[in-house]
Amino acid sequence: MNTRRQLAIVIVLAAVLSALVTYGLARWLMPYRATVEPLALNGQWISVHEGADYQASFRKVIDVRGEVRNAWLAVAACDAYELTVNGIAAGRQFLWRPTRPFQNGLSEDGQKLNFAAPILALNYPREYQWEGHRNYQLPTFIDIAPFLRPGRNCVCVEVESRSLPPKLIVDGEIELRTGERVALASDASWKAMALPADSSSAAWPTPEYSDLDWPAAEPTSAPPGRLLRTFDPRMFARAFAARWVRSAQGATEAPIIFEKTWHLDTEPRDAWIRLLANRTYDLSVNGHRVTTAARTNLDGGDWVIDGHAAADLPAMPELLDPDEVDPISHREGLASSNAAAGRGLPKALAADRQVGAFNLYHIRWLLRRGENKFSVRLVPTDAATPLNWSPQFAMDGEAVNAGDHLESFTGDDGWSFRTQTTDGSWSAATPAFIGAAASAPGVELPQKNYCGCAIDAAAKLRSWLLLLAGVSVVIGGGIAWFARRHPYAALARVLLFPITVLSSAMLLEIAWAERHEALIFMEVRTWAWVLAGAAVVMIAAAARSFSQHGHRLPSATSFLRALPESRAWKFLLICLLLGCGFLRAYKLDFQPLDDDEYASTQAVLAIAEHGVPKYTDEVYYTRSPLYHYVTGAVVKVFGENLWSVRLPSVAFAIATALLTYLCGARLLRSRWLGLAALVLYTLHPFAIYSAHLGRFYQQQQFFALLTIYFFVVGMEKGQGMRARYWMLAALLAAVLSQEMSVVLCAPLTIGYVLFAERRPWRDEVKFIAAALCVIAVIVIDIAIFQTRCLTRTEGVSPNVEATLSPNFSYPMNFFTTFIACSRLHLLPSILLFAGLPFAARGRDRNVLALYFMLFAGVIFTNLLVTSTSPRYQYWLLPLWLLLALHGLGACLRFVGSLAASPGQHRWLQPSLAAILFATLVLSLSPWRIVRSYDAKLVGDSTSAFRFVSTQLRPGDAVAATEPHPHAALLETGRVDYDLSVPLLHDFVYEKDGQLIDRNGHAQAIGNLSQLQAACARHERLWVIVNREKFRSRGINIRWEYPGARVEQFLRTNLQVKYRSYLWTAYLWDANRGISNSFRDPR
Amino acid sequence: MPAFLAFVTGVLGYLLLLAAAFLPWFRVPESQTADGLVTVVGIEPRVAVIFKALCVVAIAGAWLEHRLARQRDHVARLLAVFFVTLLFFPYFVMVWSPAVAAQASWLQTQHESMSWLGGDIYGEQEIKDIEFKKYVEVADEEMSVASFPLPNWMPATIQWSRLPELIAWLGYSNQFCQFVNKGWFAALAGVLLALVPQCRGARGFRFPVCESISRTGMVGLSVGGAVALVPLFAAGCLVSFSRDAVQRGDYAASLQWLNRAAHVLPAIQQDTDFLVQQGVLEDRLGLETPSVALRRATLLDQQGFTTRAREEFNALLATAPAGSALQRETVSALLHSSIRSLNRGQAQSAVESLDCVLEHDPCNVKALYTLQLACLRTSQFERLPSLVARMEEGYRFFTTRTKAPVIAAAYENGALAEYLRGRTDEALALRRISMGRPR
Repeated sequence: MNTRRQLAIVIVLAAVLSALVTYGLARWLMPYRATVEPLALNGQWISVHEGADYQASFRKVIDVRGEVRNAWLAVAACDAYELTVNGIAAGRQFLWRPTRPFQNGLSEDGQKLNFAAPILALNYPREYQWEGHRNYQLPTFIDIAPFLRPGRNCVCVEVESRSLPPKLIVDGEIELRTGERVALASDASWKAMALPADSSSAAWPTPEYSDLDWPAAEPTSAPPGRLLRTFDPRMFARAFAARWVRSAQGATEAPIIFEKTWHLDTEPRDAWIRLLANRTYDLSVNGHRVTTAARTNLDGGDWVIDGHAAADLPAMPELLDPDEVDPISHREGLASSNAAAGRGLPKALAADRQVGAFNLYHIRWLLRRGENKFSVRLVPTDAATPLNWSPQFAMDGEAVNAGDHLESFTGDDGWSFRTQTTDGSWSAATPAFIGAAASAPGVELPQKNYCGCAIDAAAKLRSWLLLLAGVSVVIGGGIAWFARRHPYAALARVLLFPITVLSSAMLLEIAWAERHEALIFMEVRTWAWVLAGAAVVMIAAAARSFSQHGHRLPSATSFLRALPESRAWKFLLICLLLGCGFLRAYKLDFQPLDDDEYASTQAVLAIAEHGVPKYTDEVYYTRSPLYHYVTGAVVKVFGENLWSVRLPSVAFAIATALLTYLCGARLLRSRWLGLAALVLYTLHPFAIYSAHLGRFYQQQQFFALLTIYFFVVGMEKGQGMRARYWMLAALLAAVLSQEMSVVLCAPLTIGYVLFAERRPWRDEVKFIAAALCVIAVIVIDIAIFQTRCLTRTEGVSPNVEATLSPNFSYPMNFFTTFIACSRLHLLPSILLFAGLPFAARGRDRNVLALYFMLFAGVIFTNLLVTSTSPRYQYWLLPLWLLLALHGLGACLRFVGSLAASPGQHRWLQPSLAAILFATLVLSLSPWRIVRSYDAKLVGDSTSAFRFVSTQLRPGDAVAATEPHPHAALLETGRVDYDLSVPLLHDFVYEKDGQLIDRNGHAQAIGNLSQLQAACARHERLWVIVNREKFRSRGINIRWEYPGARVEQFLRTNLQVKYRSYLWTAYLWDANRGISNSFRDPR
Repeated sequence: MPAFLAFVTGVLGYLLLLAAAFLPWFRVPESQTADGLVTVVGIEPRVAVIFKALCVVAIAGAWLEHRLARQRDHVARLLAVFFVTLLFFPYFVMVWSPAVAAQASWLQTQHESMSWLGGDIYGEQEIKDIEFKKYVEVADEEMSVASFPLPNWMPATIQWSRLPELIAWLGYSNQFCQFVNKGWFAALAGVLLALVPQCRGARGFRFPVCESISRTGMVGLSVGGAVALVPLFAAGCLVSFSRDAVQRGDYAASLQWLNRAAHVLPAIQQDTDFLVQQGVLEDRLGLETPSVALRRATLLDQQGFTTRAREEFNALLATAPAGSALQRETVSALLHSSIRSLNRGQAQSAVESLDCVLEHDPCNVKALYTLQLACLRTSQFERLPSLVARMEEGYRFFTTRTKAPVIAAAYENGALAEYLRGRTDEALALRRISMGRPR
């Protein structure tokens, strides 16, 4: 390599290093975003006495002896909660699947760590073998003052958890106008119950409810991880003392700007403001608009684009309390709890939306030492007729400097205002009128809404560019100094290490952005540690690179090179395969069966018993015959238990892991690559979860990979006919394991035309004949499925089930494999795409064939399968892993070639590879696997049905929500009704004039009247409900979604007898004497 | 055999390319009125004609290259360039064919308001069987139109989470998928199949050709993508200047920046937000423009002054240019007003305003569905057959499978109307269709 090229390489590497160091320093010293700091709460972690349930209800009754001035709560729960005050929902963190982003389901939008939407937001994500996000690490602060009233009050928290026991910690305080303070911190004064005795879910959170039989909450251990905060809790804890500011002219329809300056003696370390306004406003600090990405109210000014309320838009769907609907129907005799609390009509129902806003902002990055100018611009209302009240606002704030010295901003004086005339000019500044205190007796303020951290994006860019310039000078100078003493190649080698460390950290930060691990990079010191780590690695690399013996093969490197040929390698492989099996088989029977699993289990048990997958006389589950017959045989031998149903999948997972290794070792010609793929496959949370499902995905993945393996071997490497026949056999097995594998045919055909060598005619004819036979078997299989499995539908379903049909929709689905939920695949995919040019240049047929199969697989699966979800692309996972690692290897070879001559400095690539591979492993968050074995990953229908089976009396009837009648049948031995609201015709068929569920042979209930009729027919009716189906996760019902009426009926008339994770068992008992029809006044 | 198959594949590819020149590429329904009769036809963006011509040019070019140069490499590169060009077809439709793209977005919005989980089709399931759909409420969803997200990126706000936006800017949005047609797929498949014989030699795969194709493809995609995004970023910049001006209270400057953004990227003029923003700014400046009138009318309607609002809507519709954003947004506002009327129980008032909506936007599937319910409640049963037929005609251009339950619901309405007219045989026939049975 000539010197000029080496110099160019060093310059490029120095530039990259400068950029990365700048990023690290900027994140450390001037992050321009909220950072996390430790938080100490006064309360204790509490739980239920001897709790064995995944839900718990906590209550605290408070006697408020006077008018409330300020009241707040900080709530954290394992794993989710809903806070109600006097029966009114005040805040929530609902439990969603862990594959959804961190803090998904949090009601306080501004308190989210990451406002951005997830890259992939699929409706039906597949679960990962992960514990849930640690939402509790960031307690939510909630203003509860608007919900309290003098007298008896009740603060209730319902906690829902995936693992036992459900835990809660609360801190807070009520400050009365008399100066009295009431502590709300969680302790033994709180009462706790797993399932409230009076199971009417609307009653227990109200103050009138008697909790005398409730035991005290039990102190419990804190969950792992520290509590953190992203803003100053005083924003909520301090009573609002600002006074109203308005123009001296009184009511006006002209825009008005109010201005004031705030002098800060020192640079603030933290700062916030609170603004209460009765009109839409534009707030700016030092000329920069105070805005955040959170959904906020009234802070858009005159700007509509990208806003949250365009002029002609109806009110957005909103959570409504059941009794909030009453004012619409003008019914009397029912006191709305919200109305009683003074909230009046909810916004969605009200014509006048001018309810005011009380917004809180973190503004540290907008302030500076010296004069800071605040301006609040109140804009005219959007009313068709002018209003006669004055535009006004009140504002206060606080700044904390490095010495923890507080500087307060009060809005009591110093405000001036200007009015805009119709020609656009502004009047001269005039002192504003300062009115009474905004928080006065008898005045109810809106709920405080923390909006997040406001920054000036332009200032951020400016500062970071300035920092980049400084860092570039320092690094450039350092390199110039070293370049006089050492060769360029040695310098390049040294630079590669900090670049790798810093870019790995940056990539990890990107990969973790939608998980709770993002908190790690939100701590300011994290980047200081990363920079220190990069410096240490650079020094170590320099010591080796500048050493005279640096190019010699060190003993560790030679050991690694010799390892694949040794016996230890086989031992290592066996250990990894055992580990792969252990991770998939451990606590195999702990996870409940999901709905799809029940469908397969029903077929498997039928095969074990009768030899055919018979559901009813009319319905045979002929789908995926190879999977069901293999598993049926295992069940026949080992008996009917969960281990027999799920172990075949584990066995196929181990086989897939081995095959993945073989693909790496033989097709990509690197045993190390194969081993790395095996490790990643072993730890991959999606692969672990899917491998212990009693469903066909794992078997399909194995045979699909086997097909691809033989395709490459048969078409490329050996060009042998035997491999081609094996390919056809594997393809047939894949299709008979899961019919959607038929999408493989298209890439295989094109691949055959592209890659296959010419063979004698006799061979070709034989091969085509064999292929035609395979196609014939597939056609027969699909024909049997169409005629024996599918039943005639009695209507058009509103939903679209996944099926084989050409379609082109949801372009983002094409990225599912490359991004995955929670950005799980983002980092390896970057390497995969980076390796693509090297693959094209490398002229390696095997690599190209594998890339071809991956991309063609993604494209054809999306084009041929409707409603594509990640599970249908699961078969591509090993291929994707192999190519990502191949990309890593190709990139390393490239950078290695820049910094070392062939044969020299062999330590370079293994060292860099180790860093990058560790990054890949970390990007999978493998530590979350450990605790996941004690957490329910999917709704626990099994426990609910088993509970009911122990309670069934003769004459009892059972109803289950769709698609679980089969589960009810398997677990309780009977199912009478299929509760399907709305009715999905794909799951039912007509028999004797009635719609019957395909799996359980239960009568379909599609609306409230039919449910009421079912209740009328039976003395006792068990209704086992998947709460996810009703969409209403808390006390308020989502009336815009189907099933709301049915849910209201269940809540009002039936008793809750059992709750498991996401499931509730209701009992209709006619002898209880309670029946409230939906439309009748109570 | 593989070599022979490669040849066959190549021929098939060129045939597909030829077919693409005659097949529709992207069609949205539009109505034509002749002798008082409304017929629904599909309109294509002009850019589709150019792409069709390019297909013919590509075939001719490949043949010429093959004849003259006898180098597969050249033909392969030419086809690779054409393939990359085809990938930008969605961009040219959604970003540079504003009227067609806006119509596609508008129809997609209407369809989604009916087919999503909280929409009409799911919502009516529980209650439709009571008293001939008397209690069914029409979902009054937000129905704003945006062919693509308005660009508002700054260098400091670039994040991975905005990848879906980036994809939408390149035209790959759900509304494009809804109306894209066979021609584009035939062209893409044709080029790919035509490339197969280029990549295959007598003994198998030809690396140099593959390398050449990948290089051309990657360069083309990168350069093309970057160039395609320039106007979007430029417009985004101008929109942010407009935002800053609003904050200062400088409405005139804000309006000026907004107009400049529209000059750079005309498609944003079709955006609902853009029109509303224009109305706010012009209102603040004291101007009397159609946008201001629309804004005033919608405010009146929201606050319960329905009669005055309807008068303003009608006046606007009488003057708004056909197919303009103003007309569409006025129709949208009137549709909302009609839905609210129907849900309040004022069915006759809803019928009148929905007739007005359909007079100006005959393919409005949401209005057609709402009018069917309104006619059922006002006993105008004889109108149902034509409304159902027109709705089905409009839906012919949708490609999604979720259209089936919407059409089924329309047939169900038709069946109810026939039954209430006493025509039981016709009612039964329509009911069977609504259940998905063969006609």
